[in-house]
Amino acid sequence: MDQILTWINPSYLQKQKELQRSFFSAKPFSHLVLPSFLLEERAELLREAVLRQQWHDKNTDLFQFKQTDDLCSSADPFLQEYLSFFSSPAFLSFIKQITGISPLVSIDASGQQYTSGDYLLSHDDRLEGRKVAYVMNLTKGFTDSDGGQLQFFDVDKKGHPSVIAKSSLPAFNTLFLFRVSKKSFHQVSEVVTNKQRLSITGWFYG
Amino acid sequence: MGNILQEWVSQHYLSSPALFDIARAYQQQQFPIVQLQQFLQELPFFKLQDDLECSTRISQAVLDQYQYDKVAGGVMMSRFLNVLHSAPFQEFISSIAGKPVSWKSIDVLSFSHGQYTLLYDGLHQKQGVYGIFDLTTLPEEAGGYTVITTGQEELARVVPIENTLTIFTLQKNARYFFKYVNHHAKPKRRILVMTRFW
Repeated sequence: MDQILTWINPSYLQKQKELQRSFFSAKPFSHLVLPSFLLEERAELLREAVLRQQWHDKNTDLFQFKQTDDLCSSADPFLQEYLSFFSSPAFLSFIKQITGISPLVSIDASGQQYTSGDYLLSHDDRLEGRKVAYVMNLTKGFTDSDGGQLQFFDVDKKGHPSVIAKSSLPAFNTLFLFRVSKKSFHQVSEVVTNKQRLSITGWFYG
Repeated sequence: MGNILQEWVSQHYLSSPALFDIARAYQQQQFPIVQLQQFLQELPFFKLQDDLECSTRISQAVLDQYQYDKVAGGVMMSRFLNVLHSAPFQEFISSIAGKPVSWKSIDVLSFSHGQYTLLYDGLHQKQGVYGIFDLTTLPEEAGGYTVITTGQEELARVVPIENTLTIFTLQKNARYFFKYVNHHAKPKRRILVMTRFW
C-alpha cells in the first residue's frame, strides 16, 4: 500500500466503494474515467520516460499510430518503477476493488502515439485473458477540433457497434478503465491536426 | 479483340505484342499483379467521370467490418459495366491471366473520409482474378488504397490513380482491404469499379 501512496492521488483510495458503483452503472458499458490519477510530478516524469522510448510505425486495416515495444521489458529505471507499482499486488487489489472484477494477476503496457491521420477503428478488445482495459493518458493540449477522442459505442441487436454513446477528449494524467466484453466496442477517432496524442495502454489479465 | 473494346480501351492495350508483354510480366511475378494506366480512351473516360456527377450513393456500414458507399451510376456507367461484363473483356483478362476465366461479379464502390473495410473474423473473400478500375486519384497519404495481404506479409498495395485498371490474382492465403480514408483526402473520394473473374 505504501508504494501506491507514492504514485496515485490519495483521494482515490478513500472512495473505492463509490468508484465501484460508478463503474457498474456507467453506460454504454462498465467504465471509469479518473482525472488527475497520478501525483502530478509522477505523471510528468512518466510522460518524459515514455517519450524517450523507441517508437515503431504500426499500420494495418484496423489502426495507424506509433507504438513502443512492450514497456514491461524497458530498461528505463523510471518506467520499471512505474510498472512495478502498476503490476503490484496492492494496485491490482485496488483495481479489483473498484471494478469488482477478479482475479487480476498481470498486466501489459505499451506506449501509443497518434498524430495527423492516425486512428484506431471500432473493436471490442476481446482476446484470451483480457479482463480490464486501461488507457493512462499523457496527452497535453487537445481540444475537440484535434480529434483523437476515445469513443464508446452502443451495440445493436446483432451485437455490432452502432452509435457513439460517449466521447472523451484525451486529457493529461487521466486513467480510463473499462471492462472487456462483447459489448466494449470503442475507437480512437482520427487525429486531424499535427498535435501528439500520447498514452500508455494495456490490459489487466485474469 | 471485339469492337466493344475498340470503342473504349486505349489502342495500345489491344495490340497483340503489348498484350503478350503484359501477360508475361503478370504471370512471372510471385504475386501476379499489373497496373494499366490510361486504360480507357480520353473521351469515354471523361464521359464516365461526368456520369458520376449524377450518381447516387447508398451507404453500407457495419462499423466493426466496413463503411463505404455503393454507387448507382447513370447511362455511361451502365454502358461501361456492360463492357466489363462482355465476352471480349473476359478474353482480354484471360489473355493476361494465362487461363480462361469467366465473369463472376461487379461492384461500383466509393470511399470518402472516414470510410474503410476491415479484415474481420468470418470475412470470406473468394479467390479469383480481380480487376479494380479507378475513376479518381487519391495520394497514398490520404489512405483509401487497397492492401492485399497474407496477414503476415503485404503482397501489394493499390494506390488509386484515375483511369487505371489494376489486375491481380487473389489466392487462398490472401485477403484484401481498403485502408481508412483520412482527412488528407478531403474533399476527394476514391471511386472504383471492382470485378471478379474465375
